[in-house]
Amino acid sequence: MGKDRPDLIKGTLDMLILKTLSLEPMHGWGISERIQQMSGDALRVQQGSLYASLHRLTREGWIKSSWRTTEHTRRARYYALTRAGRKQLGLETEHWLRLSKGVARVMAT
Amino acid sequence: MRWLTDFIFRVRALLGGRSFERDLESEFAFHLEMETQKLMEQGMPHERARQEARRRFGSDVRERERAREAWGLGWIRDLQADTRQALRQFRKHPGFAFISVLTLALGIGATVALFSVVQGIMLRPLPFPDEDRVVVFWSQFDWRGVEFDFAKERVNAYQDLAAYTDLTAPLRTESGSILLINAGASAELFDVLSVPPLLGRTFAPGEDRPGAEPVIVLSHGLWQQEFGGDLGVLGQRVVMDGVSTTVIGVMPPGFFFPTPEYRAWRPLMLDPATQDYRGNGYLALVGRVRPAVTTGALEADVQSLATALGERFTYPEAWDKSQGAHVISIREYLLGDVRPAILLLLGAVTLLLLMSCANAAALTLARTTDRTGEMSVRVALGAGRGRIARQVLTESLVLAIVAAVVGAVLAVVLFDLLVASLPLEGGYAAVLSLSWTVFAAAFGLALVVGIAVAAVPVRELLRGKLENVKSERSETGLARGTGRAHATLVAAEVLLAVLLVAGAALLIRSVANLRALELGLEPEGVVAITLFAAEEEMSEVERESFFWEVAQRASQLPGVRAAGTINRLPIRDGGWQGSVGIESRPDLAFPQAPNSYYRMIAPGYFQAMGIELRMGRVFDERDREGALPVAIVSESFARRMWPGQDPIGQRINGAFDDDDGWRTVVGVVEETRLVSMTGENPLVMYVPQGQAPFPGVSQVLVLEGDANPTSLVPTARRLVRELNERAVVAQVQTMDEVVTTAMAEPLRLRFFLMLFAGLGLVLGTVGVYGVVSYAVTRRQAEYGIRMALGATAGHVLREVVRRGMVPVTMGVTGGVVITVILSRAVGGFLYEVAPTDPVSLGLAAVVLLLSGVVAAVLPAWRAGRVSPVDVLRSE
Repeated sequence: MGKDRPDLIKGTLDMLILKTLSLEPMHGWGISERIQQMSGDALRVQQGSLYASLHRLTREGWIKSSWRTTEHTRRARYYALTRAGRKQLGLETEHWLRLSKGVARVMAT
Repeated sequence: MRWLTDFIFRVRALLGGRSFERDLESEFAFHLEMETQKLMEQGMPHERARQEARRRFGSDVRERERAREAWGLGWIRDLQADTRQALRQFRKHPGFAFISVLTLALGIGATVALFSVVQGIMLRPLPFPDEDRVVVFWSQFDWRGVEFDFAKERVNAYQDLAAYTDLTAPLRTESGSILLINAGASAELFDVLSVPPLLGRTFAPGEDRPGAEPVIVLSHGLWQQEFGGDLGVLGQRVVMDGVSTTVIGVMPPGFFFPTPEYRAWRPLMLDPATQDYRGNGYLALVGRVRPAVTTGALEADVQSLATALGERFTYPEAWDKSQGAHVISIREYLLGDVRPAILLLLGAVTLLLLMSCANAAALTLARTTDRTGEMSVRVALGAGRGRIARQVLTESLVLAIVAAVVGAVLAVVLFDLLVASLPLEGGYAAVLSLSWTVFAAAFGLALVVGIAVAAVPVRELLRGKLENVKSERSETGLARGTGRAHATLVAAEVLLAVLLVAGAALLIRSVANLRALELGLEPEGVVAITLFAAEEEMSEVERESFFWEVAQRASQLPGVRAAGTINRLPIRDGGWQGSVGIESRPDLAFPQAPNSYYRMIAPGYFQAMGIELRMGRVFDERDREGALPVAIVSESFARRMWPGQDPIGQRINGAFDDDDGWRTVVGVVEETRLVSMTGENPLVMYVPQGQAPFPGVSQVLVLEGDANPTSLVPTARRLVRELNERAVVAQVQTMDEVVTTAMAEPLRLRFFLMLFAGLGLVLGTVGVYGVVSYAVTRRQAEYGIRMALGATAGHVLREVVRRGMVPVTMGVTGGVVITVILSRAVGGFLYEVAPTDPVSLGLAAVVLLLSGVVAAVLPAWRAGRVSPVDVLRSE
């Protein structure tokens, strides 16, 4: 993990997971890959914190998990968004956009 | 809603238990596999790809930890794991676990068993409601019937007032006669106690007055044993004290009054026409306070009664009932004098429990110190500090719990042993039971100790000291702080042990002195047969000749060396005492007259009992009615009444003689233990049976035989039946039994104390051993190096012993000092032993020092045999 790739801002990992899962149910490794991919390799999920986040979100009731078979016939735990999670994603997206706009404005001056 | 999902998850995760852990593992495995595959697709060789994936994933342990914490399974999951881990630890170090559990279990078990016995005898509520409202009047006095009736009319604050006394007498049953310990009480007794009978009724008003039919109320135990629990017992007639008596009621199980030894209750006979009514006092007065009476009103009531008594009766100064008026609670009255003994035992129990806790603490501390290295490694590997702290805690708690379980088993076994080995009267065994409250308390204490012990290393952990320890391993780190804590614990423990052992030694020496005591008689080969001739069944003349003939004829029975009678058996029986007049000592006239026991004997008594004549002569057949009235006195009587003078020929007037019935002293006999085994002997005067003022209803026939004195009993029984078939053999006891019973109380105390001392010694030695041996193990490397540098095994040995002995010596010194300070407390229990008896103190100190040396030498010897090479390599 080089210095060129910044760590995720604290608290954003939950949001990114929710976003990723809003597209389709996904297992842990898939989520980290997808985030890295979607950010154009700009973000790399600290794989360590990933599972803690997943469990925290599960506890909050925003995502749920189930064991399924992958396309390579491997068993994996798939996470999916719940209705409450979808609502939460909406809230966080709005919040994040407002925040990032503000930050961008400050940085542009 | 969120709390609900949250809750469901927690429950599911909990119930899921193992599967949660498995899921996590396979999820991580899956992740690693996918990552490896990806890296391999990017062209990395398999082995490297796997390593890289693992590196990227981070610490497995920490992940799992975080995931688990995110799940909020927190402590419960941890508890399971920690408990498993703790049990694994114990399996790995069975010595440590065994000793810790054993000491704690011993402490808990012994405390619970002993305290239960103590509680059963002393602290349990008395078997009647609102016992704090039941009081005894002027407990220092015995009351007369006339005073009781007078007082009854003049108390307002009491709803009922009752009088009672001991009326122990033989009960004739179909199978023979038993001596029934029973109380005589005025009709109000059961109203004062407020306990209804199980069957039938209690006393009716007036049943304690002349003309009433004799009735008796049975205890539940007596009803079961002697009447087979027969419901038809009510209305049945029994012969009690020679009188046909009707059974009117049975009390509920568990009821007793005044003590469990009393197994029946009869109405007193309060007849103003009799001498008894106004003669000597013989009653205790109990009253029940009306509800909601203030202390002030009570006091005023008692005071006005005292004043009224003073106006109505004339009292000699020595027993003026108008003075010193006060009431005490029935509990204090019945149990008061045992309280110091109980406090002593409780003190010893507490010491024991504290010691076992200190012991477990010292051992656990040593264990934790030993594991500093292991813990720092675990911190380094990513275990949370809090997690490790919790684990240490769990370990000591698991220890405490296991100890509590073993302790409970021990308590049951010890309790049964104690109850079986205690010389308790029949009534007591029934009211004793194990106290689970005490068990809960002891267990609680063990838990607290468990937590407190864990606190020391945990504190160090949370302060972060462990980080530094990583490289140093177990050498220093916690060692300094806990080392001091250790030494303190060892010293404290040794100190407690010295207290226990010294206290026990003092009391044991006391009892030994008691054993060696001059009884003033020869109990060997002597049997005492109590004969009863009820007033109602035999006239005075008949009784007189019966008792006279029994003594005469008994001495001619085969196997009998000597025979005699006495009205009250020495050591066992009290009573028959009063002021004695001394002709040559007008300064000792009433009310300054000394108190003397009055004993009526038949010739042969002194010989049978082995009491030696010191001066003059013993009684013979000539000392009968009409001849010169004579008396024999004890040595101390002669010495104190006529110092420096010849007692023979002096004249005295006993309490039961006519006022002008002067007796001439014809002999002086050896001092004999009369009513108690300790203390100064009271005065005693003997008068010949043939010149007794009245024959009494009971005499004790004393037979001295060749070998086994009980073999004389059948022929003696036959003789009694032959002489008068209405006479009752009420009690048969060998003199040896009498002496043993009298010493039961101190012997019982000694038994307990030896138990305590033994346990204290074991615990103290185990504690010192445990701690010193751990200290040695910890310093093994140092010793190895020193030996490599040329120190001899002897050097190391001396060093280890010296180190181990420092806290032991401090503890012994402190213990001796505190024992000297506290010894006043046991002073009252000692007989001819000074509270600061150097033998006892020295013994305790030496024993503890020795056990300290043993405890230190063993590990030291091991330390001296350490191979330097091994130690250095292991580091």
